[in-house]
Amino acid sequence: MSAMHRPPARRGFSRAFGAIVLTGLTALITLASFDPRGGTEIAAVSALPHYAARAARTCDNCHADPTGWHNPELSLRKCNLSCSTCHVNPTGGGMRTVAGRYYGQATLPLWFPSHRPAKDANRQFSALRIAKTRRNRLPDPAFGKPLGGSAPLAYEEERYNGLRADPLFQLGLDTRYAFWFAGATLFFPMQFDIHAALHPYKHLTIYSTSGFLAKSKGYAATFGRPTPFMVKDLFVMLHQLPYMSYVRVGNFLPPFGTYLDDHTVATRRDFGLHSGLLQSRVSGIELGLAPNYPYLNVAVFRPNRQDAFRGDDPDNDGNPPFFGVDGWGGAIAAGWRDLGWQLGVSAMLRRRGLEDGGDSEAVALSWGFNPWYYSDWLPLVYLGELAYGRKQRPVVTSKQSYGHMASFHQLRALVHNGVDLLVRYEFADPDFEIRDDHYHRLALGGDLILLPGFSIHGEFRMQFNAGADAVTTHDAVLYFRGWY
Amino acid sequence: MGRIADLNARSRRRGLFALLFVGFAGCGAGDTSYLDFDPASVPAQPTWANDVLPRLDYYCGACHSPDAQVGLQEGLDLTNYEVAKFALLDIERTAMIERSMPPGTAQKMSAYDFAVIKRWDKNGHPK
Repeated sequence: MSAMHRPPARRGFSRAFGAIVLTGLTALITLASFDPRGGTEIAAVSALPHYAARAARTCDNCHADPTGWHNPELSLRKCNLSCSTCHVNPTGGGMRTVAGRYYGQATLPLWFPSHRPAKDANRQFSALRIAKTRRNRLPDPAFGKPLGGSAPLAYEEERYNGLRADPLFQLGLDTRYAFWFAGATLFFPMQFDIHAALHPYKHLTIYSTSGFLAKSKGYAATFGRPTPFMVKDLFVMLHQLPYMSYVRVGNFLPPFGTYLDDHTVATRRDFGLHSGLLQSRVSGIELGLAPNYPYLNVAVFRPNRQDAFRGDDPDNDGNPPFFGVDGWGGAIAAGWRDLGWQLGVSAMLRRRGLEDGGDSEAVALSWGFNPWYYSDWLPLVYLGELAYGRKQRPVVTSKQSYGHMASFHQLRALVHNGVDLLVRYEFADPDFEIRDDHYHRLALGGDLILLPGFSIHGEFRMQFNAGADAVTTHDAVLYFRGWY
Repeated sequence: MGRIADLNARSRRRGLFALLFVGFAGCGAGDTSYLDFDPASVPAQPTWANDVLPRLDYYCGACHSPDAQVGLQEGLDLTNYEVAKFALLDIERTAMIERSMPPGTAQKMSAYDFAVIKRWDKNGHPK
């Protein structure tokens, strides 16, 4: 590969102006699309672990050509397949690091990529070879440099096609507008999250994600609630430490299992990890590291209230306490993410009062296999997870609990760059002690990542319910997604 | 009525079995009917305002309430006390036996939640 081309400097006022205009326009479109008649649920943020697995195929997925570079020693290396490579939030979702922004502009889109990795240069429809330049197509919403310079482990600008690698301040956006077909058709802004990160000094970053809290009753109900827009994640983090380690304090989702962008998957929803909900957030401290292949995340926290209807708030207008409820909890996730495969285990427990949802414990086994790493003829990524948990029943007089489980198997096929097919099978048994409440669910669909920062996702889902009289139900979802 | 405490060991064995089969196993893991719920786990005196309305609103309100975004479906307002009282058999059939409601892949009603509603029905629908 030739040496990296540096695009003309487009920083300063024009870039800042472009980022502000894009943010403002998206906000205006979202607000304008609110239908006063009703609404629906806001959805999860969208970390996509199969992208990480897929990135292992070639180095220039994540950064520009490594010509003439010195391979850094292990403690300074950022090459891993953990969420922290592409996301500022080390356990995934939300604002992208420069590697994530580079990947999003260079590798993912069908049209107007800024660059194509060496192995994927021809993996696009010939009629659609629009890109002949490496110019970045989106304004980079990142500004300045941290005071005192960057940490030794910080990203270096020249490796990312001129994108701001270690900014003082950065904005990000995740937004989804969805159609949901389930008998009736709903259209709603599924997600509108704004991310902000202030990185004032070498290792220090203050991070927040804020977004709308839509209600399933409708938009009118959403804007009738006292706080339709809330801070979801807020933490102070020391990161860019040796071996990709970090420590953070604040509100975040506990590290457990595989982070999927479909919040209806039982491995997330049934385990209190619905990333669109404030109830899933915990307040605490988390440590983590991910030097190349192994990874470890450990968190100790104050849990929050379970997502449920409450007699004292029948309209469900109230939000849970921002810093959680009385009690404690812990979570640990560890494993190995190699270039062609991955295997991990997680455990989590919550201790809290019955009125807040009671105690719970959970363990999970996660795995992945990336045949594409071994053969160019197999552009597939397979991910799976099995999670088992126990929850306390709302019984005042004893400590009864019940078991539940969920699993998924997901296969993605990248037909061409930007055309990403999906097959996912799920099984869930929400309560072992109840007959025939388990179900199987099959999802078929895919993503069309048309442009940098813009994609269309479609999915048809069939749910096979148990029992002699059970019926098969189905629905479909189609959403337009913008991010940067 | 089956006692849940008596069934825990059996459930654990089935959980381990499911683990061995990496998620494909688990069909038939249920032990009791959704109506056979431990009486101690259900509120003795559930009321419409505190226990039933919030549950019907949570599971059904997106379509079966007057302010639903998609309009009131089938003319059935399950957030109305009088309507809900007479719709319980239909709720049981669609939500618990057929599992066809809520539609699609929306979150289904749990057995515990239906047990609360059933107790309310048995107690004569206290407000």
